[in-house]
Amino acid sequence: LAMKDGKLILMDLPEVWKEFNGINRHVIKFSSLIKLETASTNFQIVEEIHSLIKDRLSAWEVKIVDGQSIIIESVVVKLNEENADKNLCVSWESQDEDLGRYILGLLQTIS
Amino acid sequence: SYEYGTMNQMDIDMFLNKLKQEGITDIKTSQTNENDGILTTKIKLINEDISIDISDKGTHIHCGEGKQNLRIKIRDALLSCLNKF
Repeated sequence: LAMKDGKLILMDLPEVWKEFNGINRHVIKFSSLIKLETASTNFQIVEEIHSLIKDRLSAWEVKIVDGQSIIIESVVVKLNEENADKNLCVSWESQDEDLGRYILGLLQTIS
Repeated sequence: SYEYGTMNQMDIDMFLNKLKQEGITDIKTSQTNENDGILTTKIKLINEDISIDISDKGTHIHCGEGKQNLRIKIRDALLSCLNKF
């Protein structure tokens, strides 16, 4: 909770620092690639990964965005296709290191 | 925790020195203006399939497959060059 313009408002920590100290966050982001060897369609791959993550992380909100990305907090799992090769790009911000590393490890076991 | 502040040239030099101390010596650096006009320092670890983009907005570490131990070393070197709250 922070006081702004005479009102109590709810802000997250980086917003508070920017608002009151003028200091910007330095976002550290990681991306890692996983090559896929599969005959499944893109739709099937995204559905399968979504089910797997939802099953393992039942307390978390696991969203599919644009039919090719799965988002959990700052963790984004994106399906890419170059020519006939498919890969997953798993990215996350440093505050979600444990979650990101867990999801990367989980998806490496199915690739 | 959250990291804050910017990486100026002195911080980037310190980061590169820390990478060298970790035995990472195949380093190539360049500077570009990305599409949004933000000056970005690009660091490539030639033999490792890893690249690091540093700008005022933040740092993005791109890893190939199976480079997680190295990613952690790079992250720790970077964290030691930034402030946290």
